[in-house]
Amino acid sequence: MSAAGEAPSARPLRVALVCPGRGSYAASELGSITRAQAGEPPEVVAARGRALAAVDAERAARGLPAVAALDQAERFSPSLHLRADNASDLILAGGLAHHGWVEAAAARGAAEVVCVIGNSMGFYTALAACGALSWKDAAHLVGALGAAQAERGPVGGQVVYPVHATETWQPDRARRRAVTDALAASGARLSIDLGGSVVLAGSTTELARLEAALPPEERGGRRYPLRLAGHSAFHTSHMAWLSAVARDTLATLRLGRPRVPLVDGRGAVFRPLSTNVASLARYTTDHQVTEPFDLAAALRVAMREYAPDTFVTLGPGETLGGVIGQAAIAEGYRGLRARADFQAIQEAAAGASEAGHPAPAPPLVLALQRPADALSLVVFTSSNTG
Amino acid sequence: MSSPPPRPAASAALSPVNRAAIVDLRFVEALEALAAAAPPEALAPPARAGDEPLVPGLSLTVREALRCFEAQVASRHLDLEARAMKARGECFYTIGSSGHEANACVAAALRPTDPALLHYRSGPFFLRRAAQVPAATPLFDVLLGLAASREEPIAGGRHKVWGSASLAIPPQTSTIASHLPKALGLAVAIERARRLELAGRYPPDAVVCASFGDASMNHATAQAAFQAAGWLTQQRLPAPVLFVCEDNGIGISVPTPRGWVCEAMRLRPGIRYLWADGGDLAATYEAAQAAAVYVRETRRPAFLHLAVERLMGHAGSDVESTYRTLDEIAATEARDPLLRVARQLVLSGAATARSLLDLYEETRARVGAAAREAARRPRLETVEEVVRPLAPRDPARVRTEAVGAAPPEARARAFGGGELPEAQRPRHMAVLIGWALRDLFARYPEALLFGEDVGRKGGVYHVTDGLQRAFGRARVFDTLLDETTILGLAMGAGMQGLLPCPEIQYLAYIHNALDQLRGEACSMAYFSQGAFENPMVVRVASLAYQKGFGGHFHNDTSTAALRDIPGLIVACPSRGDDAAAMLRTAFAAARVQQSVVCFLEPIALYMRKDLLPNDGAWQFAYPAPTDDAAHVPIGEARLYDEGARDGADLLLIAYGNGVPIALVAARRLAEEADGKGTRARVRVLDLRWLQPLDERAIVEQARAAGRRVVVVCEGRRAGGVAEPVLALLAEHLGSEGLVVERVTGADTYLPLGQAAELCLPSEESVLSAARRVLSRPAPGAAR
Repeated sequence: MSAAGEAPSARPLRVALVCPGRGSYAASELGSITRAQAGEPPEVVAARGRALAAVDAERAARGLPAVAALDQAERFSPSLHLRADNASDLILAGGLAHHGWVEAAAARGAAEVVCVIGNSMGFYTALAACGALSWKDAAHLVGALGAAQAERGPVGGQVVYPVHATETWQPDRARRRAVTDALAASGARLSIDLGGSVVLAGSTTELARLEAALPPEERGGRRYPLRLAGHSAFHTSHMAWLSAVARDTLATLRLGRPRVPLVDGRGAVFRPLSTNVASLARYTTDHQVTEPFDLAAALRVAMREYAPDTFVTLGPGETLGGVIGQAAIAEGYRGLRARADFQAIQEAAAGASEAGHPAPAPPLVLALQRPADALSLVVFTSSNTG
Repeated sequence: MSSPPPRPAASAALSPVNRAAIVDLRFVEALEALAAAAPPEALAPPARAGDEPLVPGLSLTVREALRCFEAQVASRHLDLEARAMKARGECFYTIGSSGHEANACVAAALRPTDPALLHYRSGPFFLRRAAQVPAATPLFDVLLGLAASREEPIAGGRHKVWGSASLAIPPQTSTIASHLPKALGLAVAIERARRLELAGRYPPDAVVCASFGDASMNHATAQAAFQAAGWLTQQRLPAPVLFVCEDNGIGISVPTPRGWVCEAMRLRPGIRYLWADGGDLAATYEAAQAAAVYVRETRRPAFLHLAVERLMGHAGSDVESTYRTLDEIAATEARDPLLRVARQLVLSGAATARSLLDLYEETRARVGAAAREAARRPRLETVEEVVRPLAPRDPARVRTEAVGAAPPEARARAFGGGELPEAQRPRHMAVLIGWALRDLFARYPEALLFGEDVGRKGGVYHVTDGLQRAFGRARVFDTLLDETTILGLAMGAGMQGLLPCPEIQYLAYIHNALDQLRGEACSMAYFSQGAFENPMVVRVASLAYQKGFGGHFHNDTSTAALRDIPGLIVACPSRGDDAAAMLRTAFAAARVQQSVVCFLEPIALYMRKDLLPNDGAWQFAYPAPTDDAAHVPIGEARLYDEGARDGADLLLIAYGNGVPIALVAARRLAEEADGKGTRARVRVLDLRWLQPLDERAIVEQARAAGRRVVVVCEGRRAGGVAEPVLALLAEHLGSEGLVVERVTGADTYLPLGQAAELCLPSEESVLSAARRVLSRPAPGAAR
């Protein structure tokens, strides 16, 4: 395989960058932020250093231990790792620590970021990744919001519920209707629309009613509706108080225009030349905090308007891969109609990459959490030279 | 971060045919030259704030200017990509927007809830508006349209249109500005809904925008809209419509006379005229903003005249060099508005040349990638799929809707507190139609009735007598004398969610405005897959037999041009109770399935009371609106078995005036005994609906009558209703043997006076035909 750094003959891979939200750092992610991997380009080392420095500076100022102390803990402790301030910082640090792979790929002409998306809290990571906030400012914003939440404790909560067919991953309208009915019956609200699943939120009583109203289901060893430990009723009016904190904090920071198009949780696009920074600030602190986050719309806009070859997910974790696959199936993107199609292109690309051949077609998703995916990004050249 | 721009090949640059490559290259080179001349970053002036005006003293901000430019660049690349896709066999439409970049400013000056009826060079408008609505995907939607994919969200691959439900852009397919009357109609309807305090689809302070070119502005339909807009304003009637003429100076190959648009429009009564140089972004926005504010605040029409260019020919297939010199073409390209806007942005410090060039190249790559995706999306594959949205039919819902009435108090009020019509003695058709309208208007507060002389006069045949007094001038009103405008008003009312019942005074007059039904009204559901609708019930005083009075215009019998309009329902009752019930069915169909219905009312039957002299048998009791009989399923004929319950010897098929003629003939035949003393058993089938025809009843009744049929059609022999009936009989019964004749109108314009009768079916001509058919050997017997 050609060495990273060699100029590719084909055009760069069009990459949509997706930043995960709360809930992405679990036991299997322990160590994933601070651990170096073999073959890392210098940009990756540098980015990890910058990310940890930015987040740790904030944590030090708040009297919190460094991210490394959390990431290198012997075992995953929900009371420690899922506490709002720690959880938020792990998400931001884990995301930005992987950003070096994207920088390295761009520097080698292997990939070009065509748009940036954040899921839920990952929107703050996205603000940093697209250049609208400095990493330091992003760390300050996330730190302040995490601290405020840790102090107050969870307000209400969230549950996840699948709305796709188990085998095919196609949208399941009957399950969607069941969700709509259960929401109406319980008073709970849509929090995040992931396309193939929904995250629903409400007060403790609303959630109890919701859980009673939703048909229970077991998939992959998990029982749904599934409570998200330590989460609040994000993206609902229960978070109005947090909006005030966000406004006060962001007012002290330098929010700028994104350097790469940023797709928000409504599917609206903030563009490098024409973004109204005041609108971006308002969205970030108000709508984004108290109204549903429509990741499915954001992914759809990315597919249709930016036509990426590949969605690259930052860490921590790699749970967004399935979400993106389901969104692509719903859209019919790149001809994908069902889970088997998705798996086929993923496996073909992974197999080619392992064998050192150019892939017949780029994979739909590369998760930087996975060392092989990360490496393939910096050496990848699209076979599609159109 | 972007890759170096792929350059058009040098050979393409020299080609007189491929001007797209030259326009592309010229833009890139000019921007690179500007970039090269820019001061080094350290010495460059600071970037200007987004809120600052682009040009001091004008209202366009730096940010809005950049947003317009983003839309313009995307539109340019869509044009370029369309040609590339066509070369790959992936695209079926190459009419572009290049040179018409100014229309982005019009979108910027309007609200995304202002309905916009756009002509075919409206890419920048579409893209600029879409950027105001989260989750819109205009770029990909357009590419799907170019590829004629069934996934294109508005027309589903049936045409390349600018349309979107969420962007308030009803798709238009007109190439001749025939969408202007409905734009005016929508503006009027928005105001009507406000006055009647009815919630409409568009907000009460909306402005309707309609764009078109300098060539199509000359079209009679466009002129009708300007004329009607002025006529309304003259009477202080509101019509908040913004006409946008994008004047590129040429219609395909014919130049527009210099100054013509301005001279023709600047002093038009009631319409405010504004002009801007479309290559000057700030000036265009200023004019568009002024026009939008004027229309929104005064509720009066304005005409925004934008000087634009036409780059890259009329369409991809148009070789401009066959009618323009290369120098002329190059001179136009040198005025490329996109380049002028880019210069304006750079020289005013709104952006660096490098950043604009980056945007241009990033957009090229983005459009190219999205085009490859769009090209693999599925296309329409079956006829069923193609026609599905044409005219959805839901007979069960229509029936449920049709049988019903306003609350008793409202009905009592509508009928003046007197005896309700169903309790009254049988009456002739004009009275029953009038009663049915009263019931419908009492029931549907959103129903409007309008046309020539329908208000104070109550119609030339008094069918609408008293309706204006009963329901007010906001709902029942006279229009100017122009059928194009009447149908435009109807479409606009339907688009706003009202229930329009326009009247066309005579059938002949619908033909001068037919494109409003054919090209516009009936195509709306089809080209928007039901996302937009313009339901209506067009009442038309129709057909002949006015005892020699009136001449050909007032006795027109032509229905062929209506019958072939896809999706149009054509009703033609012959008796009062059917007319009342069918009118209710028509309103129900308009309301629940958005049908467009032509309701042909036979003038000569309006006042007819007798079947045979002085028998009073052609008067009928009014069917109560809640009776099940208050509804006639669409396409269901009425059979008169005339006592022939166990089969018949002859079937007379008729409609309109032909029905009483056929009934009289049937009775006379029944009185005649042949040599053996047997009397013919004759049935009469009244078609009632001319489209769709009751194919089942026609075939079954013909079979039940031993396949001996006479078709009575007062229309002309060529193109009359007898033709499809005969075709149907031939298809279904031809192999079994068939004895059939038709009695039709002559292939002529009807003359004045008694000579008219020579040219129309009569009892005698029907009787003769019937006797001939009865006297021939049994069908199929010869074999």
